Amino acid sequence: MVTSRRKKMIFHLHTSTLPSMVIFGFLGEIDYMKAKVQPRKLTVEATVIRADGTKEDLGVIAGWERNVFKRALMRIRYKGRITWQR
Amino acid sequence: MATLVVDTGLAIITDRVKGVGGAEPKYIGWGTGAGTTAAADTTLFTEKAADLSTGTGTRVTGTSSQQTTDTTNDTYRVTGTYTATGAGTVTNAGLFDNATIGSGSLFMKGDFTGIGLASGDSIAFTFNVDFD
Repeated sequence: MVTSRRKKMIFHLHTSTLPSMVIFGFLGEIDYMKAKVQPRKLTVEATVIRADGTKEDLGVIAGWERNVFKRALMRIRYKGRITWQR
Repeated sequence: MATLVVDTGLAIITDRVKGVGGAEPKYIGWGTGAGTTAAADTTLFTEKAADLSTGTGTRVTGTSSQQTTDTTNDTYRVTGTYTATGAGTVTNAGLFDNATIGSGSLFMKGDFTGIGLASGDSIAFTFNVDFD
């Protein structure tokens, strides 16, 4: 027999956890559970300086954001940069 | 593609907060191997020396500073320039608490789209860890 409280828990799982799993899965965030122990933001920026002195500012080449929306935005920016690099 | 303060990096933080020892993680390493950074990682993916072929040698000593991103001194920053003495593709980089390749603990690591380098090329890295 499913109690009212259990029904609420099941409802919560379906309405909260599962969509989150889909969203995080979509973003490829396999390190989602680790996110809770990470700093707010991590970035690695790089500027390539060629032997002839030419500089190529690549900006942020790797990064992580605790905020899922900012993280998604960061990924979109990366994809744009990768396309640009090619 | 992932960027993390890895598990050994968390230990470095608590060691230094408690004052039980440990060196500052300001030594920059780079690697040429493939992979996605995980929290349990203790090394880079195929860490190489400046020649991008040897697995032994010395890392670049970065310059560390405290920066203000949102609140005063909430960000730890390390900058440093790694100059290649051989050709190769750099795919990941990180910070260690020891200057010798193969030694020390990994603090932070990030993997990225490979950057092709020829001999004499350099990468000026800036690592930021915003704790706020």
